[in-house]
Amino acid sequence: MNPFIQNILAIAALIFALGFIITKFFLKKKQSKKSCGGEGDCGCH
Amino acid sequence: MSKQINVALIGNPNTGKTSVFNALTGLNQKVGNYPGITVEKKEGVCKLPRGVKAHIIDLPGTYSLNASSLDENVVIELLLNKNDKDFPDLAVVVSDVENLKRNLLLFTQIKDLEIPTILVINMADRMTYKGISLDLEYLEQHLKTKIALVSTRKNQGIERLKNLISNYKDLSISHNIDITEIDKDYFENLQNTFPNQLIYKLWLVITQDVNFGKTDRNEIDAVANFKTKSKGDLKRLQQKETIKRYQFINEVLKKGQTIDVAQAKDLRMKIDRIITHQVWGYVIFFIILLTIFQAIYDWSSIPMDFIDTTFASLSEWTKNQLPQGTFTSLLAEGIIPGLGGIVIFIPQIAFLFLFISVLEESGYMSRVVFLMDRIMRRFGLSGKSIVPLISGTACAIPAIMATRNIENWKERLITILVTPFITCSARLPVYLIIISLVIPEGRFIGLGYQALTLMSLYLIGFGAAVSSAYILNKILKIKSKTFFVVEMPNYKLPLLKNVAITVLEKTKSFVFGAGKIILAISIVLWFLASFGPGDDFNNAEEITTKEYANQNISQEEFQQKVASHKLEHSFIGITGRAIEPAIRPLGYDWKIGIAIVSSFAAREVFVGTLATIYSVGSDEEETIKNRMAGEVNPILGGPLFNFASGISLLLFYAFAMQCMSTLAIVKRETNSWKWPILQLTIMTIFAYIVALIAFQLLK
Repeated sequence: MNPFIQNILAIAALIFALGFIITKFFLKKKQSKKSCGGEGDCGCH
Repeated sequence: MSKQINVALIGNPNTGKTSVFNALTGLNQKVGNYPGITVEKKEGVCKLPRGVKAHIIDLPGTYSLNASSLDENVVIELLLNKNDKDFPDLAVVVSDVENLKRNLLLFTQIKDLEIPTILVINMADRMTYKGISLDLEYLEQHLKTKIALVSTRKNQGIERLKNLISNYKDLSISHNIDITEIDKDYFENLQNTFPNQLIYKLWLVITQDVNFGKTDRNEIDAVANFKTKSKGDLKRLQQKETIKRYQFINEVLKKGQTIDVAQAKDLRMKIDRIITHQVWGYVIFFIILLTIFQAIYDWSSIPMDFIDTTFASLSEWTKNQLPQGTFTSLLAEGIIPGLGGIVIFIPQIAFLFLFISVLEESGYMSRVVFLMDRIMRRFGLSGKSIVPLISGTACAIPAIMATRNIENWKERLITILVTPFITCSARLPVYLIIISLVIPEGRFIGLGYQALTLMSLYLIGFGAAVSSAYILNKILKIKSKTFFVVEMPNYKLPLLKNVAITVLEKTKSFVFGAGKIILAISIVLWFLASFGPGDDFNNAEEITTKEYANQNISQEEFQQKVASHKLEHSFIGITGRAIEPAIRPLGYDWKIGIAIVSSFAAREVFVGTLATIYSVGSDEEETIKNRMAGEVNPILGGPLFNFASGISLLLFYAFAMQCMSTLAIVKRETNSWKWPILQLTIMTIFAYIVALIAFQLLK
């Protein structure tokens, strides 16, 4: 395998790894509201 | 495409609901969370006759539709919301043949929601032992349902249940009782105000203290209050409802169920008297713990050695077979050793969950909870704190979630704050590798020193939790107490299938949950360890040549010196050396420092990090353990991982709050940064001091 491709693959792996770590630990996940129907009606009316 | 039936599996705790779920779905199941909350959601697919499929949800165990915990809210919210994609076409209520009366309360409530309902009477194999006989025809007629008499242990009745599910459209949706009879005026008024609504659904919305999406509870409350005026009146109506339901259930069971006590051959009371005895109960529990920890060591050593050697060979093979370059080095020195650092612990984790699962399945765990309650009360915690503390042995996150069952805020706060001291499964890899390095393999009265050390660490964690609870209890001055009721299920031989599924699920989530983080961190660490700024890193070979010009060293030794020089001047080396002064008094070098910092993401990352750092630049085929054993203390000489530094590290991990996710969950549960920051600061300082004292005394 050509060294250029090896470097590209390694950098891609690093970007994926950093992206994963940042998403997992530093970006706040959106949480759905605790409700029975989310956006929908709950069916009680 | 064939139609899929949505089936909700509902039942009281300890009715064997999960066994029925496993029997219906086999391995076609997945475990997740309900959106926005961390209540476990188990769902699976069951193949029915005529090519029909059923999507089955195993709902959390609940005693009634009067919710008092988050788990129970999940059940009610699903049953009240027709727009939910999981809203059931059919409810399967699982009951236990020995507790039919209590279990039928929930059944009659679900019938009132006009959802087609099947009653499963489980544990039918216990009927002979208990002298129970049932008139199924009578019960079906009066409960207005179809009944499946099931024994998951003997795999009986499952086919009938599948047939009943596939013919669910034939089921009656008529009520068992008329709820309006408990207060005719009130319910008439309610029905007139909301003529198109199901009366029992309205009643549940009024009486439950939960949010129901766009349902305007205040609007319904206003109508309800018009007649009943106060919450106290509503409570009284709820009590009347429960009494009415039990009157109906008693009436039905009087003719539908016969219990001949003379025929019962029950050993349960006798066994209970021994294993919950105030002395023998603890002795038995202690012996069981010792056996478990010894078995974890004895049974795991062969598969662990095999995995360790396999990963070392795989790393070597990758290096030799793939073309040389950055990516090959990343694979051989970063990813493979990093992953090896987690896969190696699969046997021990699997054995631990095997034992836990057997104890739970057999009914013994509930007795342990009862036993521990006596101790906990002396430390100012209520019995309700025991469940989170025991679940903390798996992971602090669900354990902290489980504190939601504790109504008293101060007790709940104390439980949240002390739970991270309990030895979680993420600490296990750290303990295991360090114990294997610094504790000799000898035995004392048949018990290995290593197993005894591991058990001591679990006890130290538990001791730290209850001691801090005692201190917090004094500081926070808790006056009121919550009540604790624990149900003692019958003793059962654990079902192999259930145990296997639990072990598989828990091990899978451990490996994949931690594995993804470890893989990502291994990649980043490899880059940080393989590149560095400045001439010291880039000209490592020239500098080493000059340094050893007058010494006669072999080519292999020279290469090792170059690799070591590079690592020391890499990005990670520079960072590690910056924090080294703070950790040197504890007996650690900068590499351990890096591992401690990176394991803040997840404790088990510690081993993977060291495996990656020690692999960079090394050409030898070595196992993780050998690499760690070969490390030399740069200041004192001798092995870096010796008895003093090893014990210091074990104690550091026993007390330190090394878990970002736990802090996040504490913040969420306490709705403030104050508590997680206090927790982090106090636990870290305490861990540092204890580790420092241990090293200074033992070195």
